[in-house]
Formats: sequence, structure tokens, C-alpha cells
Amino acid sequence: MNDFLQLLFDGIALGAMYSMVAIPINLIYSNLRFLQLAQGQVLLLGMYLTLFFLGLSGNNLLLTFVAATLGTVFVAVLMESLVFRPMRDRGSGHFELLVGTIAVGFVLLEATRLTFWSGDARNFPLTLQDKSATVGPVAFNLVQILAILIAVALVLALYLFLHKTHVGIGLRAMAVDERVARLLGVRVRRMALLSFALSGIFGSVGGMLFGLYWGVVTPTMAGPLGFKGMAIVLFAGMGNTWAGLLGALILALAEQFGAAYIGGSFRDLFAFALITVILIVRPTGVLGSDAQ
Amino acid sequence: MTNLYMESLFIVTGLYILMAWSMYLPLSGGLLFSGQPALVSIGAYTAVLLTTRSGVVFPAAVLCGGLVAALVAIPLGLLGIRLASFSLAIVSIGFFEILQVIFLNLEFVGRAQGLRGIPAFTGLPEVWISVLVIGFSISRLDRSRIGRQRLALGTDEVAAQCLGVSAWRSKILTIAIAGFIAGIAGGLYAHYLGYINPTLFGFDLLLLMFSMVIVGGQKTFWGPVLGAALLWLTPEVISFLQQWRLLFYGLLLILFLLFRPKGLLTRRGVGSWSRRLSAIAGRLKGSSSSEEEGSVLQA
Repeated sequence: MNDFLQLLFDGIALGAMYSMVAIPINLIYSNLRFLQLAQGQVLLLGMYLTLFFLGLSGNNLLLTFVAATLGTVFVAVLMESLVFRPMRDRGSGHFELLVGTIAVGFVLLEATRLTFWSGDARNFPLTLQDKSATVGPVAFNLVQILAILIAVALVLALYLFLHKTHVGIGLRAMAVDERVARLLGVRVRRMALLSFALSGIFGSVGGMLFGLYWGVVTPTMAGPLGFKGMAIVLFAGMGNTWAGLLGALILALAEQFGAAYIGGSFRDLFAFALITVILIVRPTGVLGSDAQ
Repeated sequence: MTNLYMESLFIVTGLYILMAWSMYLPLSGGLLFSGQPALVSIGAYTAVLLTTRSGVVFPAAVLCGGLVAALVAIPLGLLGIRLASFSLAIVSIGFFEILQVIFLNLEFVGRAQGLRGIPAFTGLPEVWISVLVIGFSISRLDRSRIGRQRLALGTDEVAAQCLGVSAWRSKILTIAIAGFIAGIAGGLYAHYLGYINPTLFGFDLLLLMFSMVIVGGQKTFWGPVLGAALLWLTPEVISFLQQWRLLFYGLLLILFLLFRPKGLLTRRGVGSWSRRLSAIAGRLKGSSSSEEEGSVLQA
């Protein structure tokens, strides 16, 4: 029972971090109708920038966060305005956009690897792992608490932004029908940029959390993370804001319990098993597409 | 030394041409299939296990690798074709991520170490005989009923189905053939390198295969050949690109997607060139025959 509670808590914390990859993929899909497979690499950039600025600012977490976020937002907006928007403008299909995101991911990964660090693992100068506590049977550390709080706060903020502000409603209108939204005066291009800017914010927050949680950064982390984000989005249903969080929780819990009761070395199989089952049983995802 | 180097260049180029063709077949049929790296790895592991552990002769082992890869590809295709077009891409990418995890965790295929000490059976003749045989078969296939059905599906699926093309059968067949070619390429590749491990068949290989097909031209038979030769040989010739190889492929791919998504060779382009060539050939034939007539008359 104690093990169960511990696994449950670890799973929820991990799910909160996975949602940092899944939510932006979901957001971009619902607004622009393509799967952004480079989100894992955006998160990796966030991780490296966090590491870099932590060194510069002498472990000042707040300053680092601001600088890293500016960096990832800039890169995400650059991706959209240099590659994805021109591609959509010339009428590229699903396949071209999909390959485009893979290519952009590679460029980002290689650029990060070649400019920042030669590809070896890097230790985070600051880990919050040691700041831990035990409540009853459950041991937890500061990063996990931080991850859960930040994830809930970000999703809530995103929800309020999408539903209560003028700009957010415009964004949702665009998700429903781009042409009509444009006719009603929604600035579609700006909205697309905004979606990518938001994905940059999630990238830097996610990168920071994963960096602090793992305490170590290598370039090879990006691929599996991006893939898991995509699996979560496919599993939970595309174009649904809450689905990202819910799907991330389900995947993380499945991984935690699966690793504990079946075997740790196969934990990366669960993401694939999830999407395979769901695509056979219910191709639109558990919550259905566009159930906004 | 330089001879050996040239030989290895041509061997690898031939192997990449095979891989690019296995990418071209589904794409020209409108199928966004991207599990080829996994199928290459299946072919490689099967062939290596057969030659090193069971003592099967090399050509038979490579063929078996191809067949196993085709057999694995079929259920993937079955799973993927009932979904929206890009779900197949996702499922197949997921499949090779998962296959890597499996290979990394299975003791009898050496986990992360992979398999080493594979006898170097693959030489220039083996590779290029395979390329010629498979290339000839594909070009015949493209002109056959099956190939035309595939190309029709790639152009307009609904229209093709209205004309009585069984999309289901054609797609499964296409994916199986692509799997077979990928498996053959894998078997040959393993016996050229002398070692295999799961990281050889990851996202890097997928990026390379995508780039070859898109740069060369995704809808023509010669496109992948051109793309494979161009993309593999350029960093070899311009040596400072070596270290930046993946960055170079990624940037090239983005540039082509932005400015020439159909690739260097398009079906219309190839068509007009072959028409022009046959016109020239016809004229030559015509002139030579008139000369003959002339000479006959003179005589």
C-alpha cells in the first residue's frame, strides 16, 4: 500500500512534467492542424539554456527562468515564421509539414549540440533533489512539488487565457474555422505566432523542470520526450486543452506502475502500447477530437 | 587505399539507394509510411543471426531478412491504413522507437552492444547486383497493373477507388514490398559494417532517408537514386561537412520543403525528358534509316 502511494505520487509528478510537452503539441495541433514533432527539441533547448544561464547568473533561478524563456520563445517564433508559415502558405500537405517538423527538430538538436556542448552528459549545477521531505509513507522532493504546482498553474492560466480573454477566444475561433475567424477580424498569423510563443514558454518551463529533476542533460533525451508528448496527444484526443494534462497523467502512471510491476527496462514501451491500443479501439482519442 | 575508399563509397551509395527506394514505394502510393529504419534493423538482425548462429549461406540469410521484414511490415500496414493518413506515419515512427527499446533489452541480440564480429560478406558486386535486380523489378512493377494502381492511389485515392482499384490490397502489398527491400538493405548493410547495434537504426537514419527521397523527388523512380547519391556523396567530397552531416541534411530538407517540395526530379520533368530523349532517338533512327535508304538508292 505504501509502495502504491509512493508510485502514485511519483506518477502524478512525472505526468505534470510530461504535460509540458503534450500541451503545446496539442495547442499547435488544434490551432494550425499539424503535429509539431520538434517540441521535444524545444524542451531540450530550454534545458540547455537553463543550464547555461544558471552558470552565468550564479544559480539565480528566477533570472535564469526569464532568460531561458526568452530564448525558447524566440526560437519557437523563428521556427514558425521561417519554416512552418511559409510552408503552410504554399499549401504543403500533412506529410510535408510532418517531415518539416522532424527536420526542424534535427536542426535544433544538432545546433544545440554543436554550439553549446559537444554531446556529453552535463550535470546541473543546481539540483533540488536533496530538498526532500516525507509525509506519512510518501517521500517527495521539491522538484516534484514544483512540477505539480507549475503544471496546474500553467494549465489553469492557459484555460483562463483561452476562455476569458479576447485574444484567447480569437485563438479558439481560429481552431474551429480559420477562414471564418479571419473574416471576423481574428489576426490569424499573429495567432499562429502566439501559439508558438506559448509552446516556447512550455518548452522552457518543461526543460527547467526535467533538468532539475534528472540533474543531468544529454541531447538524446529530446527524441523520446517529443515522442511521448505526441503519444499523449494521440491517446487523449487532439485539439482538446485538458486532454494534454489528463493523457500525460495516464501515461506517467502507466509507466510508473508498469515499471514497478512488470519491469523497468521496458518502460518506454508503454507510450507505444497506449497509442496502438487507442488507435485500434478509438482512433479519435479517449476524449475525442475537438471536444472543446 | 583510395581504391578501397572508392569501393566503400559505392557500396554505401548502393545501400542507400535501396533504402531510398523502400521509402519511395509507399510515398508514391500516397502512404505516409516511415517505419523503414525499423525494417532495415529487422532485416539486419535476422540476416546476422542466421549467418553467425545458424550458418545459413549469406544470400539466403539476406533474403530471409527481407522476408521477415516484409512479414513485420504487413501488420503495421494493416494497423495504419485504417487511420487518417498521418496516423500511419506516427504509428510507424512509434514502432521503430519501440523496436529500439526491445533490441536494447534483449540479451541474445547483445543489448546496447549489438552484434559484433559479423563476417564481411558484402562487397561491391553483391550490393550492385541487388540494386540492379531490385531496381529493374521496381521499374517493371511501376509499369505493371499493381504499380499503376499504386501510383493512381497516390495521385487521387477516391478517383482510383471509383475506377475499381482495391486501395486496401494495393497499400498492404506496397508496404510489404517496401519492407522486403528495406530488409535486404539491412542484411547487406550489416555484413558490410561488421557490427550492428540499435542506435544505427534510429531517427538519424529516418532523417537521411526522408532527405534522400524528398531532395531527389518523391514521385519518380530515379528521384531516390539521385537523392541517395547526392546526399551521401556530398559530405564525403566536401569533407568539412562531415561533422555537420546531420545539420546539413536537416537544413537541406527544410530548404527543399520550402522551395521545391517535389524534389529535383518530378514526374512531369522526367516524362518530358524521356519524351525528348525518345524523340532524339527516333530522329537518329529516322535519319540513319533514311541514310540507309539513300545508300540503297545510290547503290
